[in-house]
Amino acid sequence: MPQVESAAKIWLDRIPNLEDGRRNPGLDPTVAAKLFDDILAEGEDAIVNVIDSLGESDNGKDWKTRLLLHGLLIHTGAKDREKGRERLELVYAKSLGDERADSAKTFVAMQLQWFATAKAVPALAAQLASKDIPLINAAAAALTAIGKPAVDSLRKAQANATGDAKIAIDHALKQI
Amino acid sequence: MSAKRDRSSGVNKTSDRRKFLKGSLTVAAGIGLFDIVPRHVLGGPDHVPPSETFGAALIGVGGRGPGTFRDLSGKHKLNIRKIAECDVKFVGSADNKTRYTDFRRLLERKDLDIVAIATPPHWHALISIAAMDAGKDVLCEKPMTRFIAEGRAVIEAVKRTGQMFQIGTYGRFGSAGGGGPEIRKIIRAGFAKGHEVRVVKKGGFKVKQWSGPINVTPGDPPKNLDWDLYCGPSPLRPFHSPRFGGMHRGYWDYDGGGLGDMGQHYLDPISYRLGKDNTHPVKVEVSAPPAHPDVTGPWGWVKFTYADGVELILDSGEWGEPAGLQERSIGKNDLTAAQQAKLAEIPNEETMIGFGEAVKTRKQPGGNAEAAHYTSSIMHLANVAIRTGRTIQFDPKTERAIGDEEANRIIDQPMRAPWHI
Repeated sequence: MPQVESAAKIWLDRIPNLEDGRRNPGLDPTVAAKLFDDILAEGEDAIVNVIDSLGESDNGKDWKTRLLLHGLLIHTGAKDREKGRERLELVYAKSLGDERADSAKTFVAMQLQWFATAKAVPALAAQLASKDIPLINAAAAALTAIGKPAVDSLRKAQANATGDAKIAIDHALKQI
Repeated sequence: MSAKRDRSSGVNKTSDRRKFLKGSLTVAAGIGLFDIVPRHVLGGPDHVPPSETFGAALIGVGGRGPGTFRDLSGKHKLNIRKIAECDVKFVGSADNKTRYTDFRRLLERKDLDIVAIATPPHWHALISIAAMDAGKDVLCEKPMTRFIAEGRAVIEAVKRTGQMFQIGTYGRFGSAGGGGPEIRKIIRAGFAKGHEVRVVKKGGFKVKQWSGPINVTPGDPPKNLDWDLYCGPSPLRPFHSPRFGGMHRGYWDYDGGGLGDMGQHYLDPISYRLGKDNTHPVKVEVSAPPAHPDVTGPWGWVKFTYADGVELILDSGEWGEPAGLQERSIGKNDLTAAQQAKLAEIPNEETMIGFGEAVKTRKQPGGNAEAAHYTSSIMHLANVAIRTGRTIQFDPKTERAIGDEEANRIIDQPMRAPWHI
C-alpha cells in the first residue's frame, strides 16, 4: 500500500543518513525522544507502518527502520512509559502473525527478546512451526528470555517439533 | 554437542601427570637413582625436565592469536611444545592432528596442558569453560566475556576444576608499583567514604573505528570457513563479511565495539588501583544516542559510581559533550590520624604472580578469572547503559540490574543451541 510506505517514510526521513555511507552517526537523544513520542502518539497504525517498512532480507538497507523499532522499545522502557510499552509489545507480537518476510519476522522476534512478557508467548510460540531456521532460533531465544511463562507453550510445541525446531525448543527449555 | 562436558571425568588429568612426574623424581632421588638418570630427564642448569614442558595449543589463529601464543613462552617464560592450532577457517585443511576446526576435538587430547584462546569474544567464555573442564589451563585474550553472566560461569569453572586462568592483559601488574597499592589499600579499607575520589579515562576507545558497518550486502561465506560454528552461541546471521575478521568488534553478536576492544586494557589497572576488582558499581549513567540493535555505535561518556562513592568516568571524546568532571585522588594525608594508624596495621598484599608461575605452582595468577570478571563487567555495564540509553542501578551481589528487566536481558543472554553456560 503506497500510502502506508509514505507514512513510514515521514519517520524514517527524520533519522540522519549514514556516516561514510556505512556507520550510524547517532541521533541526538532529544530529537530521538520527540520522534518516538510522535510515532506513539499516532497510535498502532503508525507502528505497523514502520514494521511494514522492514526489508525482505537482512542487507542493512532498512537500518533506519531497525533503529526506529528498537528505539521505540528502548524509549518506552523508561519507568513512566509502561502503557506505551504494553501497546508496543502487542503490536510487535501481532505483526508476527501477519504476512511478511521471514527476515522481518526474525527481526521483530529479536526485538521481543528484549522486553516481551507472557502476553507475547502465543505469537512467538507460533513461529516455532516455521521452516525458517533463523526465525525459529529468534523465537526460541525470545521465549527463553521470557522464562517460566513460556514453558507450557514450549512444551506444547515440543510435542510435534522435529529437526532444527526440536533442537531449539529442547535447548530453550534447558536454558529456562 | 555442548561446550559443557562431563564434569566427573577428564578433569585434571594433565595436572595429575605433572604431580606423578614430580612424585617420581622424589622417589628416584630417595633411592639414589640420580647417578643413572640422564640430566636431560631430571633437569638442572640449562636443562628443562620433561615435567616442566607444557603441551599447548592455540584456538583462534587470526589477529592477536599468534602473539597470544608467543606470550606463553615469551612473557610467561614457559617451556612450550606446540601441539596444534584450531580455527573455524580450517575447513578443508584440518587433519585433527595439528590443525582442528572444532575446539571440542582438540580439547580431547591428553597431551595438552594449556590452551591460548584468541577467538572473537563471543567464544571466550564457552571455550575457556570447556578447556578447564577438560583439565587445561587457559590464557584467554581480552575481553574475557561478551556479557556479564558468562564471567560468573568462568569463575565457577575455575573453582570447579582448579585450573589456572589468566586474561591476556597485564595493566594491573604495572599498577602494583608506584602509588597504586596505597590508594588501593585506602579504598579497600573503606576510607574513601566522604571523600571525592574519581578516575577519568579520556579517549582511546576507538568508538568510530569499531562501529559496525550497517548496510552490508550478504554473500556466501568463504569455502574454508565454518560460518555456523563461527556464529556459535550467537544468532546465525547471513554472512556479512565485516562480521568476520577483526570488524566483528562492531557487532553486538560478537563483541562490544571499542569498549570491547580497549576496555579491559584500560580498566584492568584502574579497577586494581581503585580496589574494585572484587565488586561492581552500583550505578551507571550514560550520555549516548539511541543504539542500533545490530551494530555498536557512538557514545559520549559513561559514569560509574561504587557503593563507597568512588567514581569512574569513561569519556570517549568521540560524541557529544564531555562529562566535564575532573579526577580526584586520595592519599594518606587525606585520612584522619586514627585511619592512618589503622592503615599501617593492614598487611601488604602478596605479590601477584604471572601465568607462567601460576601454571607451575598451581596458584591463581594476578589476572585471574575473578579479577578479570569484575574488570570486564565495567565495560559490559557501560554497554548495557549505552544500549538501554538510561541509568542502570546494579546489585553487585546478585549481578542483576535493579528494576530493569531489559537491562537484565543483556546481562544474561540466551545462547543458540547447543551452546549454553
